[in-house]
Formats: sequence, structure tokens, C-alpha cells
Amino acid sequence: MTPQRERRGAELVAKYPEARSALVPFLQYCQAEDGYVTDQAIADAAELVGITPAEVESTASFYSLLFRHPIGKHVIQVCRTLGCMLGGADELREHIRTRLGVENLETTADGAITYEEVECLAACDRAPVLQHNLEFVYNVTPEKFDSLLETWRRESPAAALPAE
Amino acid sequence: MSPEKAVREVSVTIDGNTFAVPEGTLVVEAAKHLGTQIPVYCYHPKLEPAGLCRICLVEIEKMPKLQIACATRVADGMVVHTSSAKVAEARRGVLEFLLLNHPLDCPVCDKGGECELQDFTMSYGPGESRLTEPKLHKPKLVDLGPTIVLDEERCILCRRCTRFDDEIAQERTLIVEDRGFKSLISTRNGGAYASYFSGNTTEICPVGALTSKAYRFRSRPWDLNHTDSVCTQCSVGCNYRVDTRFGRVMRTFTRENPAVDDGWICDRGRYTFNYLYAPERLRAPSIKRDGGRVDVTFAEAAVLAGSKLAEAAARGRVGVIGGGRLSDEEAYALQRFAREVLGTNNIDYRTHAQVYASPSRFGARLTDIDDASVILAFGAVTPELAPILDLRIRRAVARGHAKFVYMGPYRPAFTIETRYVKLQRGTLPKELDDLGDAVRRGAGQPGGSDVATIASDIAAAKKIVAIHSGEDAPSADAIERLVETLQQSGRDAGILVVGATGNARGAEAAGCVPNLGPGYAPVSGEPGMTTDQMLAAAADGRLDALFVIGANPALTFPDGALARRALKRVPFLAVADQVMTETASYAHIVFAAASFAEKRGHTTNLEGIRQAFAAAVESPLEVRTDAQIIGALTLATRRGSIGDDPTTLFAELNAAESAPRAKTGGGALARPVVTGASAPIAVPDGALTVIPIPHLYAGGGAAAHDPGTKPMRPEPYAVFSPSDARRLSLDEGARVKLSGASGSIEVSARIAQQVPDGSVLVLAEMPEAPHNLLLDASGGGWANVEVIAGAAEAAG
Ligand code: SF4
Ligand code: SF4
Ligand code: FES
Ligand code: FES
Repeated sequence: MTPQRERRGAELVAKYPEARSALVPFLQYCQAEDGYVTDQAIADAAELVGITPAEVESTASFYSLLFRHPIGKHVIQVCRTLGCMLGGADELREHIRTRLGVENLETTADGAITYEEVECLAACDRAPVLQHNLEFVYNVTPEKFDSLLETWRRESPAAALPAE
Repeated sequence: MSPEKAVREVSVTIDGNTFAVPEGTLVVEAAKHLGTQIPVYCYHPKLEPAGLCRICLVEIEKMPKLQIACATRVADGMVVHTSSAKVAEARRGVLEFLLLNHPLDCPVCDKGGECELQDFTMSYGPGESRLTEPKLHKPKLVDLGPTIVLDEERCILCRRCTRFDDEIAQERTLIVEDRGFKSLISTRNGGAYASYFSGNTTEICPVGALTSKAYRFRSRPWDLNHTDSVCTQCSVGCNYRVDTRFGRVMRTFTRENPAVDDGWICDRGRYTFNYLYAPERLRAPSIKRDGGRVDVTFAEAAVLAGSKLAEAAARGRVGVIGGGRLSDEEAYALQRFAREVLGTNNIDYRTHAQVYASPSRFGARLTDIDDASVILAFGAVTPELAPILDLRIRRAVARGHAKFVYMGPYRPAFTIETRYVKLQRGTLPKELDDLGDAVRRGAGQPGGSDVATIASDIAAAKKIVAIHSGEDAPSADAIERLVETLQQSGRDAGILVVGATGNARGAEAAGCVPNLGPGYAPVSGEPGMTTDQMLAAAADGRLDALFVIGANPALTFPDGALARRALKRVPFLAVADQVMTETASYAHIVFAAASFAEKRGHTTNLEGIRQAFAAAVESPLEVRTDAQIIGALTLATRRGSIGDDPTTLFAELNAAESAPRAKTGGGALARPVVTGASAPIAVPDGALTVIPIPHLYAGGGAAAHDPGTKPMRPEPYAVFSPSDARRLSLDEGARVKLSGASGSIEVSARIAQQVPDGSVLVLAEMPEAPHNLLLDASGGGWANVEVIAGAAEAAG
């Protein structure tokens, strides 16, 4: 673990009554530094909070905002749960996959856009829903997606994901 | 020694029956008092309630919604309905969800017939699926590790397996990955789930998701015959069931005995039966003839061996080695054979570094570990030598009430928090006496020495369990002195000795030692020779015949070179074993012996309880039980008769044990005689001290040839400290030659921090590279190291 990471880890652990509560904030911190949760970060987290790397892996895989692989500047997360499904998310996702030429959890060849299908984003009333770099977009149609895509490609957003 | 101390009873009404249960009882457990089964998936009596699957919903009056029986504790006056219309509807609903994406491949599923999903669907489920969409697909043939194949589609995500790995094994390598309907049972980065306890997950998995590679597609549960048996692979003596079909062992299955195994068995125990059908299994006696080996009938072998042994006995130049792998009855018959038939006290079961298997005083029970405050282990590497005992230690430490202290020459990998104290050879007695003094002086120890720290752990302790490897007599005495001191200071304290073989303690109790007969009664007349003395005598030409039964001293006796010399030189050697061992390969006559599954009898576990096992299958035609071999040899010597019926032998053993015996003072059991003690050895300049390390899957004999455990078997290796590795310029994976005073072996090199500088840890009991070629009779030794091939070369 780098000294800096160790320091930040200690600060985070000190915030909670139990060390393992610092697990997710620490992984977020590592992700902000490295762009995604690296194997090293998993090992560091295990050491920091005193659980096995396998347990860290299990936790990291649970959260859709923690990435275990390098991601693009744009992360597009599309809801695939019931509400959105009834609102036409199946067709939307089909469209996005074809448009980007990627499957779930893949990144476009130019490394710019990562596509992910996620569980309910808690905005079912305005289905179908997606998040672009954690920002909600509601009532998405294939046409709306195409125009958004053009905008995103034009304007390069500052950071892919906010820290912690 | 249940963790719940039941204090108050409360009254509960379940399905109209009112009765009392201890406060805090779970509704699901309370219902069992009535014989009412509430269906469960995620709940398992040995695991903490998790409340994940909702199949156990019941109706409780005054509660607005249905409650889960597996996590709801009874309250006084609670009224529960387990089969109301509401409950039935809820169960149907839960089952419909569980079956939503289930592949329904019952016709080809190993679990079919003992599957809780199948059973509960039959009892409570919907008859038909309403799903018209395609089902979700998941990986179906996931290789989870050396023992298990996982079908993710069948998994109902009850998490019993991951909770077992977490709460019971405490290894935390099995995890749930992802979430929601995408969840998968997995390991980190697809690594192997290689726990010593993995097989248990195939039993507790309520569906056919986790299947054992050894049993896949072998049989249907309803076609199996069950035989109650006891595992003899180590000295814990876990109870299990042998399941057979068409006269063949198909699998073994736990048979809970809370006081011994707590319902679990380890993978060594579970899978070591496949050797019965391996080509290496001996199926007929054989005789060395014309430079080769020819099979003969049992009768021919017995007549020939009997007369040779009788001739040597007439000259008083005969010895018998073995007993630690026989049943109690057979061990008793064996010592009768030596004493009454061959007229000698030259009999010894001890063919390992272990010198005693029963504490002469202060014997503890396995269950004493459960509420111990301090567990002290001396040289006994319990994860490798007694895995299910180790689970008890893990639990005691995890529950936070026990401290675990290990003293030994290197730090083994324990799963739990360990206070490690490094020992030099021969220094344990002094350390323990110092510790005893410190305990006598009372709390408030000065200094931060190891002894002071342990003494302060002990100061706060009510109960202490000492676990010994049974090696080195002075250490054994020192442990007893320490335990005596602890008892005098008002603490509960006791000793467990981990046996080097499954029935070491039984053999000792039955009298397979030179100075003691059955029941530890000193023999009349001169004590005979110990194993060391017999081997030395044979190597010097002072013995004319040796009979080795169920033992493999060539691989296990500390001085391997001496053992091999003796076996080669002795004019007549008869060996009885189940496979062609290193020892048997020297024999003039080899008897093919029956396995545990092919005979009945008793076996004594490390705490001294005698457990019965029944015969599950027939042995091949020319194979005989050890009792039958002993009986036939007796007849052939024309020097008496020893029956081979286990029932009669058992009665005789009991009678002999209860006969009044000579007082040995203080109610202590007499100890087997010991020659030699472990003392510091002189290591030549530049050489490393050899420390043998045990491994669960090492060993010659059956373990070496069992297809069931072969995937887990390690290659011979030696572990160096990083600084020694640098000095010798060897890398991880390099091929090295270790040369000691009387032999050399080739192994691959590993490097680990835990190795003390100046020492090398050598994997013990590997036939391909016998560690004992580097040791002397006291178990000490050194080795010079020569790199034969670098890591890259060795890999290519
Ligand atoms: S594999 Fe079996 S035990 Fe593990 S979660 Fe799935 S159904 Fe439960
Ligand atoms: S712990 Fe020992 S007795 Fe128990 S199953 Fe394993 S090898 Fe057999
Ligand atoms: S179902 Fe898509 S946001 Fe809830
Ligand atoms: S058994 Fe009660 S919720 Fe699973």
C-alpha cells in the first residue's frame, strides 16, 4: 500500500465504529485514484479492514458504481429492472448495444464509452432510465439516446466519476 | 457444552399444541419438538440464521405479516400456525420464484432424490410454471476447485456454502459475486476453492448446485445402501456413513456426532476410499521369487510366513511392527500374536516420530476445546493432522473466548489468530517449566517474554487445553507437569494428543508396545524392543524375521535410511498392507489386507473413545482382514490359536483391560518405553536444519494412490527462508537436491517468510522424495542444498 493510501485508509477507518465500514469509501477512493478498482486496491482494502480479498471482491461486485476493469470517460448505465422493462428498456438496450458495438460491461474500441446494465435506479416513474456518469436521464428513447450520444462525444466531461 | 445457556422456559403454541421450550429457541427448532418440519433453505442448524430465502414463512398470531421461522425466536405465549392457508400460499409463491429460472434438470442431477427443492416443490409448490418468457441462463459446469463442480443455474442463492466457508471453516474464499438475479457463487478471480472442508458444502447445498467430482453421476440416492462407519484417516475419528451400491463404495457422508465431529468431515476423510478400486490396491498375497513377485493364494502365503516367523521365534530373533492402523480388536490380536505365539515383547505400533498417543494423566475431551479460554498446541499442526479438531479450535477462537498459542520450530499457516512461540529442538520442557513457575508465582508477570505473555493469558483463563503431537518423551512429561500446575492453581486443564495414525491410541491401549499389555498394564518379564531398536537390530543382523502390519516405516520412521537398511537386511520380512507401500516392496511375503470398509470392529480416537464401525462391502477374494491374517499366521506357526472374530476379540480386550493392574502411582497410565529424545543436533557449516512438515494429503500407502485425493496431493517441496534462498541463489520453483548425513532427495523449492533462517521445511511422507532420508532416529537432521535447475528450467 502506498503511504498516501495508507494514510487515507486510516482516516476512513477512524470514522466508523467498525473498520469494515470503511471498505466501500476506501474502494471509492482507490477508484478515484486509479480509474477503477485494481487488484492491488482489493488487496489493500482487505489488509486495511482485516477481511479476505475474496470478501472484498464480493462487496465490490455488489455495487454497480465500483468498477473492476478500466472504464471509459463516459459510463452509461441502463436500468434493466421491471419498471423500465415495461417502459421499453429492452428495445432501448438493444439499440444502445448495436449503436456502440459493445455488450454489457464492455468499453468501446476507442476506450471512450463503457456500457453497463444495472438494477433498478429508483426512478421507475420516468422509465426507461439511464445514468450517464451518475447523472440521471429519464424517459429515454432510442432517438433521444442518439442525440445525447452526439453531445457526449462532442463535449468531453471533466471526470468520469466523482470521488467518494 | 452448548453455547446457549438455557435459563428460562417459555410457553409456545404451534399448530394447536402448547408446550415449553427454552427462551430464545427459534420457531423452526421449536416446531421440531412436535415433529413438525418447517421447510428451510438458507437456514442450517449449524449456521447463524440469515433469513434469505423466505420459504420458512409461518403465521404468528398478533403479527400483521407472516414471519420467517428460521430467524424468529419464540416469545412467551406465542401462537404459531405452520400450515394455514396463508402459509401455504406464501410457500407456493416463494417456490414459484425459486423455480422461475431453475433449469429443472432433475433427471440428470446428482441431488435428485435428496433435493430439498424437489421435495418442497412436491409438498408445497405450484404444479406448473406460469413463465412463458425464456429462462435466465448461467454457467453450468463451473470448475470450482479440485473437488467440486458448480451449476450456477441450479443454485438458489441460499448462501449456505459461503456461510459455511465463513462461519465454520472461516476461510472466506467462497463468495457471492454481483447481486440480484445476476448473483453467482464464486471465488476471487476464479481461483480454486481448495478448502480441506469443501466436501461439506456439497452436503449442505439444498439443491444440486454443488456436486462432488468424485460422486458425480455415480448413483441415485435411493439406490444407495448405508453403513455406519468411522473415518480412520486420522485420529479424530469422525463418524460417517459409507454409501454403497453394487457392493462398491460410492461416497461417504457425514453422520453427526456432536462430541466428535460436530457434523462435518474433512476432504481427506471423505474422498479416501477410491484407492479400493485403484490398480495399486493389493488384491492377492505375493511372494518374492526369482527376482520378481508372484501372486499366491492366501493359504500358501500364510503357511510360508507362519513357518518362517516360527523359526525366528524359536531363536528369539523376531519382531512385530504395527498396530496404529488396525482396529482395536486387531491390535489386541497382534500383541497376543507377538507375546503368546512368537514369545516376544518385541512389538511396537510406533513407526512415526510420535512416542506416545495417550496422555498418562489429565486426558481432555474434544468438546473441552469448545469452552476453553486458552488452547496451547505443541508441535501438533492440527489443520494438517486433525482437520476436524482444528475446526473446533477455529470456532473457539472466532467466538472470541479462546486464545490460541502454538509452540514449534516454525510457524504453520493457521486460519485463526495465533500467538506463535518459536522453539529450538529440545527446549520445550524448559519453556514449559518456566511457564509453570510463572503460573505459580501468579499474575503480574514482568517483561515481555513469550513465557510472560502466555502466563498472563493463562492468568485470566478458566480452562486450558494442551494439544501435543506426542513426540519427544521429556516434552510429554513437561506438559503433564504444566497441566498439573494449572489444575493446582484452580483451573480446568487437560491434554489431547494428536495421533500419528488413525488408531494410534487404540494400539497403545491394546498393548502394541514393548512394555505394556492391554489396558496399559506393564508386561511380565523384560520389555521388548522398540521400533528403533528392532530396526537397528535388523540392520545389524541381530533379527531373523520382522512382521510389519499396516505400517510403512520406510517412509514414516524418522531415520529412513536405517529403516530401509533394516528392511533390506532382515532375512525374512512379511508385510500386510492394502497397497504396495515402500515397506512392502522389500517384503518376502506381502499379504493383501482388507480396508476399513471391508471389515468391522472398533477404533479409538485421540481422546480415547472407542467407536464401532461396520463392514460396508466385501473384500476381493484373496484379501483378508488383519485379524484373519494374524489368525492364519498363528495356525501356521503351530504355536497356539487366536480367533479372528471381532466380537470375541473385543470381549477379550475388554476383559483384559478391566483386569486389576499394577499400580503406577497417582492413577497415571504407564507410558510406552521410549528410546532417545530430541536434542539439539550438530549442523555442519553451510547446511540447513531439516524440519519435516506434515500435509493433509501426504503419505504413502492408500493416500498415495487414491484417485479421489490425487488432485489435491502436493508435489514434494521444501520451503526456504528468503535470506537463505538469496544466499543459495534459488528462486521459487527451482529444482533442488537436499543431501543429508545418510541420503538425499530432490524437491522443488518454495520461499516463505515463516521459515526460520538456517532451516528448511521439508514436506513429510512423500514416497517420491522421502523426508526421512535426511533425518536420524530422533527426528533431527540437516541438509546441504544444491540447485539442479532454475525455476524457469524446472517449469519447462
Ligand atoms: S451453491 Fe448451493 S449452498 Fe451455495 S448458495 Fe447455491 S444453493 Fe445455496
Ligand atoms: S478429521 Fe480425520 S477422522 Fe475426521 S474426516 Fe478428516 S481424516 Fe477423517
Ligand atoms: S425499474 Fe428502472 S429505475 Fe426502477
Ligand atoms: S429458511 Fe428462513 S428465510 Fe431461508
